[in-house]
Amino acid sequence: MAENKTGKTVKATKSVKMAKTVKTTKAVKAAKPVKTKRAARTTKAVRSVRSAKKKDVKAVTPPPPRVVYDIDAYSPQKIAARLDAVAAVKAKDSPAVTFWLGVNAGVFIALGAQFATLVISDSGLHAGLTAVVGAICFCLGLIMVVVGGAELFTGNCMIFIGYMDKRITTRRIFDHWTISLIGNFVGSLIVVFFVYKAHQFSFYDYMVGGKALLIANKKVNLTFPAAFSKAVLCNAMVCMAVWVCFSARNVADKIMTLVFPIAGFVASGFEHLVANMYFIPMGIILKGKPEVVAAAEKMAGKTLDLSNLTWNGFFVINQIPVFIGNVVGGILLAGLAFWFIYLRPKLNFTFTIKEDFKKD
Amino acid sequence: MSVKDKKEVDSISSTTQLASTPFIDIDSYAPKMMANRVGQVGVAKANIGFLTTLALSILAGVFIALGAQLMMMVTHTATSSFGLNALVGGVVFTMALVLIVITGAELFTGNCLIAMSFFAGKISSGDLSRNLIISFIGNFIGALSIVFWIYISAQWTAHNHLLGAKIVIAANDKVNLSFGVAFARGVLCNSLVCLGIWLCYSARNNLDKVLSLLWPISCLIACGFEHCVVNMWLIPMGLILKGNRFVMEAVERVNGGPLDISNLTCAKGFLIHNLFPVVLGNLFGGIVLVAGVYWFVFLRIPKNKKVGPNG
Repeated sequence: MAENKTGKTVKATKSVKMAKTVKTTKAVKAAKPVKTKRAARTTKAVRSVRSAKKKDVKAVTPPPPRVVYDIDAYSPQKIAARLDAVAAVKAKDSPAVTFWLGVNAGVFIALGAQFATLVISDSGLHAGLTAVVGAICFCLGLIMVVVGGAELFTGNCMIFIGYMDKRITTRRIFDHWTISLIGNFVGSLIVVFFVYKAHQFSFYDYMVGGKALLIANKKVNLTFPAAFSKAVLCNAMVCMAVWVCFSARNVADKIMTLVFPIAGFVASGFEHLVANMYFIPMGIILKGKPEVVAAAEKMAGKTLDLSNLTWNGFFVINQIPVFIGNVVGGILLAGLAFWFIYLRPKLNFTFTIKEDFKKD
Repeated sequence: MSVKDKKEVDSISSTTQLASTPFIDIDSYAPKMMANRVGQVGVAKANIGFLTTLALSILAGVFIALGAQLMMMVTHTATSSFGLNALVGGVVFTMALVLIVITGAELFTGNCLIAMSFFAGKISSGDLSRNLIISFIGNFIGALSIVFWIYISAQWTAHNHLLGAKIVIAANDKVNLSFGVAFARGVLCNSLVCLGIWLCYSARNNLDKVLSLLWPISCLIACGFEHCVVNMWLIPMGLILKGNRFVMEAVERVNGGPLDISNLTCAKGFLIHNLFPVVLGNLFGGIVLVAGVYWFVFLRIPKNKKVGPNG
């Protein structure tokens, strides 16, 4: 080892020396540097032998243990493994814990939704910029879900990875999804109650309430394919956000990776099941306030047809297609795709003919 | 080789093995660990002496008042668009909570979170109420001291007295709330404050803390929710400034007519109409909705089995 190493160093010094001589003494003939090279080689060789002997004496003591500090962000393979482990953890949670974490998630998303509504209530900015600013505010909900701990139905579609890997039984995963979905709905309604009681709709000459009404009315007047495809895109992006968050080591990583996909889906106007659980009930309640309807009509510049803005419209026109779309987007486009890429069982298609038909 | 020597050798080899394969956990704290940390912090806060707690809570009051005056300063020009104006005000107000969290000051609203360690049986109800009462008094003193300094500095004359007018109008809005509205706004406000502090328990470094505070705190200020310590600065400021002739002229200019400030009084308007329902709402939002729910989920030991959540 030692000899090899010193040989390499000799070679390196040789080339360096040659380069130096070429650079500094351009006038000197080519024969001269060769001589110096040879001299250098011999002296170096002698030195290397001596140093090798010294190293042999020292080599008795063992080398110090090599410590590897792994502080990099998790690689995609590790993300998949971690999500897989999360499914196993969630399978052990009791229904009460899942329910209350689901309520938390509903509350968080609704708080983000009301924040976004307030900020975009002023149509002074142009539409695209308003959408982006509101969408960044909406990230409040997802940040609290991811960092603070909560069971969001749409994000939980990602634990389908663990189901495919048999970390969680079919019964448990359906229980988990159902309970967290009910919790999300309850949490959203709690925030609807408090925000309504806080008279937030009366801000800015009822414009905040008017904006909430317009958002809700837009959501219940979607056709089935439009709602479905918007929901597919939405949950694919939410699950992508969850996926990149699992790569993070600290909270700043999580927040910065979240902001882009979440703000992206909100600004694009995609349909999030749990966010709609806040937006549409809020609109249904505000429909009874004549000042709010007047403000909304002033904002839209025309009389509004609010006939679809009912609980029936909420469940049938919005929630059913959005639910199906979110499930498809989360499970097929995100969960199943990543499971296929990183965790699928390795299939062995190669034939080992030589081993099967051995020559005697 | 005797048995003793062998044991020593074994222990040495095992320690060297440990040293060669260290377990370094640099990930942000998971919610379960966050709950444990909040429980420990509650015990630590219960053991701080009276004067230290009071001094730390005066600092918290000062920080919140500084944040509130900054928020007023930034948003007082009424020409920019409403939503964006509110958002910018909220973002700059985050300064107050960043200072409090990083310097470890005792904020009344944020301390509602340590009710988790009361629910978990680590501190008594006396410890919890002692901490909350001392920090409430300290916050009040700190906020009033900033009222004094801001008034002396004549900062409210800025922009042709428009800043003073904005403060009077905001204070007047706050004392004219009905009980239910003030309570609901207080609940929403302190839920967001405690959630922001809760997110901070996940953080490993200051960047984490700042970013995790930014969204919840800017939300509660932008959405106009009622924070009792902010009101301890804002409403006394309005009470003082309503006696100034130039400020009231500016109020009339902004309002487009004389403003009814009959409710803007110290005892009835400030303490009874605003602070009382807001403090109740803050306590309910912080202790029941955040600390209670997170205690239930992460720290509660079920009666029939001694295993927490997540096994």
